[in-house]
Amino acid sequence: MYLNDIFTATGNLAGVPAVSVPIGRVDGLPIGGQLITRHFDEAGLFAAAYALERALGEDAHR
Amino acid sequence: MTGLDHAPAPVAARYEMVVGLEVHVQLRTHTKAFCACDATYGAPPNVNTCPVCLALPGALPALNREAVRLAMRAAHALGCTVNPVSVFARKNYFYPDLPKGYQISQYDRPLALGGRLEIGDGDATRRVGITRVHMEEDAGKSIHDRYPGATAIDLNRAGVPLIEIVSEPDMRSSADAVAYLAALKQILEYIDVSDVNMEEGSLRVDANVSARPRGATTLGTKTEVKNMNSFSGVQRALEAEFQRQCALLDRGERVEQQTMLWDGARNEVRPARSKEASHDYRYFPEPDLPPLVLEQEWIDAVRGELPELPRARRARFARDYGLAAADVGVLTASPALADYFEAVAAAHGDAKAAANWTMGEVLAALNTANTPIAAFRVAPAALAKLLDLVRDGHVSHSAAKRVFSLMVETGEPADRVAEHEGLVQVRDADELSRWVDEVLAENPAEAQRFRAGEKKLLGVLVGLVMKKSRGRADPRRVNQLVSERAGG
Repeated sequence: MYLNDIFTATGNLAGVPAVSVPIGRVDGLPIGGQLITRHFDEAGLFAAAYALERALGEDAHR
Repeated sequence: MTGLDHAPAPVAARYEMVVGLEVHVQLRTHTKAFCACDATYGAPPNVNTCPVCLALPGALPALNREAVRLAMRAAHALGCTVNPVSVFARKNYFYPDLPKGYQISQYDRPLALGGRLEIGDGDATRRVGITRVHMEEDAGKSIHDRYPGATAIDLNRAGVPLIEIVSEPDMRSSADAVAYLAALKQILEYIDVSDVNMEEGSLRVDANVSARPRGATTLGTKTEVKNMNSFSGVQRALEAEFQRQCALLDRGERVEQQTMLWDGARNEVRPARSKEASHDYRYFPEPDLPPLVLEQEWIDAVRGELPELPRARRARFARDYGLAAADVGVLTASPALADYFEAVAAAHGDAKAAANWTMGEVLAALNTANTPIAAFRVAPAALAKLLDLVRDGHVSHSAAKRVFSLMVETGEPADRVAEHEGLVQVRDADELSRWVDEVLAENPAEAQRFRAGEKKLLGVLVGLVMKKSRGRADPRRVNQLVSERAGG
């Protein structure tokens, strides 16, 4: 397994819902945050991601 | 006479070598291919690294625009067609100096296709096809001889942008291969895309080589020869591998398709371990990078920025300056030397003198000081001034060499050096006449014999005047004066 792919591959291997959302920039480069939840809880995942997006505000998305 | 007296013809008479080359060239960018790390050579180990080139979790590549520009520039210089769309691919293999476990390369849709490179001159000019030029990233460096029993890894090089230039199997000898490499290196120097230094690894060569009976039109089974680190290493490795293959064919055996490693110290090739030779790279499109889409305007603009290439420059030097082929070869060896010569010729006017001084004194001074011409103390305009002084008779040719070496040492202009060293030729008629008269008066016997027709004494008398002037008299004028005053 490739170390740099580890955040994408684990969700697939475990079959759990995962989502990546923009959470800001470091040294001008975009950084994403990942949320993972239990099987079949997509609704909870989306709610959490949306809450995170609102909490971080516009700056995280530029 | 028996059949035994007939030794078999040497292998070169019975078999023909067929060679294609894969050349990796480091592009001279400030930063790496897919991250902002410093890409320059020579930093302490593992200093120029970041999450992207260390393949830390979540890191994503972003393509370096300058690397694309330099790769396109090289492709154009080799006469390739640059594809408006090319695709990066992952080439998978496991090795400690490859942090990601794959190299980002290009596979079935490379940057550029279908070029050519001409080798040799005049009637012996041959064309070697360029199959493709593609972009990729370098791996880190494994250092096996630093810690006993262990391998050290330096990842400064991991992610440095490379191009791979693949030739057609169009070369027929090891000399062809070296000629191709020399021509390629010179072009890359002219277009200024790489340091092209084989010792530092900014130019690396793998060779595909096969042998076939002379006259055959199909290709024999090839092997790949790696691990050469000089042009002469390439030449010797090709010869060694060719001899090995010919011996197999002579015994009726088959050449096995495999990778051979050149061992320069032992002057031999040996098969790479099968792991090293594994070609199952499981290529697939790099999901972290979109296809590389180049606007036609940019492709054309990069082609339009190409400087004059070596072959064109050689032709122009021969035509415009009337220089011999050998001199043209020396002067165009590097673009910096060619520029220097042209600047001297333009400022001074006499191209022949500019050529002779550039090839003679300038190259000798550069070699002695082991400096690149870019750091040379005597600017072209300063040398041109010195040549003006020689042409106008203010400094003799032999004194000029002394002036030049002092200019190299001090960086002072020619006229000041000549003045300071008393090397300015005296052309003042009164002063010259006085010296001539004194010499004739001091040597009445010689003067008398010269007047009587013993012309060979002219040299002696001129020499005495030169001595009296401490070398500063203009010998041409002295010759004239002695003949006038003492001649019949």
